[in-house]
Amino acid sequence: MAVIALIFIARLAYLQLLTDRYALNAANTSIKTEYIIPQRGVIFDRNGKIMVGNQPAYEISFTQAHLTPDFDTLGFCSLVKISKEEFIKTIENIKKEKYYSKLTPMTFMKNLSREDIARIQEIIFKYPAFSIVPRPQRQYEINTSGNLLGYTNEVTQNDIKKDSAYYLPGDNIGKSGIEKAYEKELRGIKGVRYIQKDIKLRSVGPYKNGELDKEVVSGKDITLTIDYDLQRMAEEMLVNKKGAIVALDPNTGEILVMATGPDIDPNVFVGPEKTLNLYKLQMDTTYDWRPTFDRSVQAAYPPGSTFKLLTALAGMQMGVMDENTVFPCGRGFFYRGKSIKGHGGADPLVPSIQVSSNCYFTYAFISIIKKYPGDPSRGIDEWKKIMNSFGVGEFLNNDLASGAKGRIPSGKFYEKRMASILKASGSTKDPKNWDEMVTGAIYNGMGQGDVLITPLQMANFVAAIANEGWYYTPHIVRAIDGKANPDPRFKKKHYTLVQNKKFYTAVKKGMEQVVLAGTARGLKSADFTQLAKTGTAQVPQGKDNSIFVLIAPADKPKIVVAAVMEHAGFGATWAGPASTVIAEKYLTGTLKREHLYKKMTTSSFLPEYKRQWIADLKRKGLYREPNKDSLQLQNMTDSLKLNLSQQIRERISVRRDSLIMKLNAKKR
Amino acid sequence: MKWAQGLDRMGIGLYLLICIFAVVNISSVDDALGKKQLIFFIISLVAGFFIFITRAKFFENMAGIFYILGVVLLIGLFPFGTEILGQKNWYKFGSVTLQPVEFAKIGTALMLANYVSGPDFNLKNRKSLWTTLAIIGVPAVVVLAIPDVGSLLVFGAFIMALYREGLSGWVFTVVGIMALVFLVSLAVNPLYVVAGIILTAGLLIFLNSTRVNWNIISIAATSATVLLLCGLAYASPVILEKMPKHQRERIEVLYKGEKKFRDTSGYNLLYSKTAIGSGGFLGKGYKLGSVTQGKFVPEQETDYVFCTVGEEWGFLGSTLLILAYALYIGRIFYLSETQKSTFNRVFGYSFGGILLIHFAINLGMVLGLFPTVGIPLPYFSYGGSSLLAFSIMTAIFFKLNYTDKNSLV
Repeated sequence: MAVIALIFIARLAYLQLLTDRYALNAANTSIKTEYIIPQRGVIFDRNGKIMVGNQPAYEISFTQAHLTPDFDTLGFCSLVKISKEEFIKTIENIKKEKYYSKLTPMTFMKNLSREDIARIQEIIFKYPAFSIVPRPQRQYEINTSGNLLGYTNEVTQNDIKKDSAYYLPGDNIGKSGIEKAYEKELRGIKGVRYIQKDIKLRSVGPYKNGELDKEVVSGKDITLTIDYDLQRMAEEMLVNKKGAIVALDPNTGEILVMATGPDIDPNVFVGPEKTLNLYKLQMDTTYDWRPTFDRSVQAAYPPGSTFKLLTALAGMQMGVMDENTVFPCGRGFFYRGKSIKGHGGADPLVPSIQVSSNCYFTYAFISIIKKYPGDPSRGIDEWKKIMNSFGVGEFLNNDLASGAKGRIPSGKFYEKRMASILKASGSTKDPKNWDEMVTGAIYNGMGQGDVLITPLQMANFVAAIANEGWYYTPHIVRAIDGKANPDPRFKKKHYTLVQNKKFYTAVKKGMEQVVLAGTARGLKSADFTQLAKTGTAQVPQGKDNSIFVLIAPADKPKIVVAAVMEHAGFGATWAGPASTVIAEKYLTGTLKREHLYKKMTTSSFLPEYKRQWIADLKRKGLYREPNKDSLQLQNMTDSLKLNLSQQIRERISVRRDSLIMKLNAKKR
Repeated sequence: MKWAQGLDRMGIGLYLLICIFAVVNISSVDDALGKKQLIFFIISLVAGFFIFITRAKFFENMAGIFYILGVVLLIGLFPFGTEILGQKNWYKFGSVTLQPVEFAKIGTALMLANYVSGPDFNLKNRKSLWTTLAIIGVPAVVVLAIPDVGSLLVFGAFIMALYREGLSGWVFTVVGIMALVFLVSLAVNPLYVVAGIILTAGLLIFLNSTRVNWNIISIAATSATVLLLCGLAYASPVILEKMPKHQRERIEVLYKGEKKFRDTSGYNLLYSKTAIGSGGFLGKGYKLGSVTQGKFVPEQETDYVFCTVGEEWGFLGSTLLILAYALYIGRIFYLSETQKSTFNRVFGYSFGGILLIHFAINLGMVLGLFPTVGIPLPYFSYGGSSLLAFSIMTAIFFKLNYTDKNSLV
């Protein structure tokens, strides 16, 4: 008797305590869990304009375990308007999914129209294996800023692994941009309803009278710091260009504009073509176009002459120069056999900024390196520390989904480079005493050489100059659900290692001269004062990058702008107008200098990108001379990217389509 | 109180406890059935009361009548029985249904006790043995003809009682070994089983080599036994194949897992395990078992009633119930052993054996350790005939025990 009782108790212990197989089976088959997908939070710009909202969308889900043997395949197929073959194929594909299980509802069809749903809803009860799942979709009220906003997509297995308490197969998750960075705030909380089912899988009422059910909670609305009118303008000025425009409010660190060129129309992220569109964007690498690469935060550029501002501040802070220091730049730069063209005079700091003297800032940087005789690394490291305090060469640690560190080289960096150079030449000299000439470090002072900065970092260091020694971490979200962004990171002032107001006064004076009588004198405005610095960075691929930074108004800065246009040419010609137009619109609310804006929106650097692309292919030996037709086709496709009038665009696209048809016919 | 002396408080207490828990539990499955079960319980108590005021000798003297009545009722099923759930083992009078096999067990137990306690009974005597087997065999054959396999197994309980009275243990050894060989050769290649049999036989011969008197007869007997068992090993898959499909699957499901037979025999087992397994340590709470309330387990108020306990009362409740049964049945065997009269002892052993077989087979089936055989859990499954018959037997037993404890001899 005791033996039998013990056997039974042991068996009970196994079934009830040691295995959860049966508990799971019970939960899955006797209680149906229904999820109510919350509305994602709405995204507003700083002025309350809706950028991203939601639209209703429906899916049909399939649960294998509920498939009855008398399932009427043909009836169901005609209900959802697919063929039997499609049906079989879809089911087969579902079964191949990694996280497929007989009991999990799997997505069978997506993006059903409301009319379809109305029709299907009445009859679907006949097919217990299928059910309708409302899953709101994003609706974009704007047609730019795709990179900034980001997109949502179905969770991958990895996403589920990271937060398996929340995500289920078929759920959406923010994959990039704001959608990714603020996923937790935007997604809301799923509602859950537990429904007791009987043996025929009919619902017989809420399980435990619904006391375990959870209310659905909509996602939190997010107000960006972006001013969409400005953002839009910046994006228009970046058409047919690779580059970025970033504007900040230096008083708060709020990002007013974060435009990248090329831009993405976020409407491609929704609708039935979504997957194809995403693939196309990923694959669009001709001319190194790469639209998904957010150049405003991911691209690290040599900052060019804009960096001279920081060189001057660092030099003064380190005590190797002051505003009155004059370097021997009379006829240009001659230093140990190297020459750099001068700007026609031996001047102190302010005029050197005004004319952007390469010679002056190269000497200044040499003084920084040579501050500690015989120990160049120490000088460079001191300089790097000052640079890092301006937020360059480090991650900004803010609320954006992506970013880049950029590069501010250290003493070690050059010791390593020196060591490899010495090794190659077979010399046994000590790499610790590296040579700024041989390693190329002297070019850092004018923002070439080894210095790399993202456009956002550029705007940020300019904000620190505008504030004369401090900045708030640039951030993109102003308010969550109407309450100011609670993130403590954005409430802390970061002080730079340069705190002497005199140094800033001198640098600002130089920047003022840049606009009044210097390299950017063409960008003067009668309505507001500006401090600026042009940059024209040499790049190996081809034409120079056009760079510009701006502070406005001069006395009480309200906006700083940084702009980079790849391979455009002189800084004041391209990045300059774009920056000053943004500042004007922000400060005055209108735009008087329409011509500058128009110049930007109608210009294209595609020919230069194309030339580089072909040169690159030739270098790699991949280039083939195109035939006449495909060349013509490419030209037409390129011209469609230009900001042309609707009429002309249509004419070109009709001609292009007929050409494509002709080519296709030839292939057959 | 003087009159209460000799009443076995522990046994009766456990009986009442189990019956009340049964009513509560059946109410969880279905309130209406719970109320009916409560009425059956009250009727049973009334019947028990009348049995208690009857003289104990009455049952001994009237055993023959009860026995004949039971057998007649069983035979009467063939012309007058009603088929319920595929088995023609019910009488139907209007809305009242009666399962005579439950009562035939009482008659058989009484008759067996009566015969064994007779003055000229001796198991060594052929006549006694055959008469005994006939007493058990007649109702057993009728039950087999119905056919009601589950109840047939219960008649095995009488063999247990006879074992106490001196029946050779060989019966159990032989049946046990054959069942073991049969079941093992279904699971593994019969070749291994044959190897195992020969090895075991060799080992036994080797160990007993000094004691065995080898002659033609003993060698022939040994070889015949080994050959028979080997033959069984090879035959068992064939026997399984030849069995009716539903019976075959009930055995196969234990080996191959219930998922394979999800839509047929495995269904009950899967959901019975699901219900019990999802109970966890403390259970889901009274009337909150999702599998029970969804009525996923067929016959969950009768044969599969233990599922509800497992799901709603968890490991704790189920274990306590099993312990209660174990104590109760153990108590009955213990009391039987202390009886002064042979009649009481044989009846007690038969009663305990019937309970034990019911309990072991029912729980074994529900927990997936034994092939599905439709027999109820005594006192616990819904059903008037079963509860009433078991209660009558309980009352007779405790009345006999009461008289025995108060007798002066």
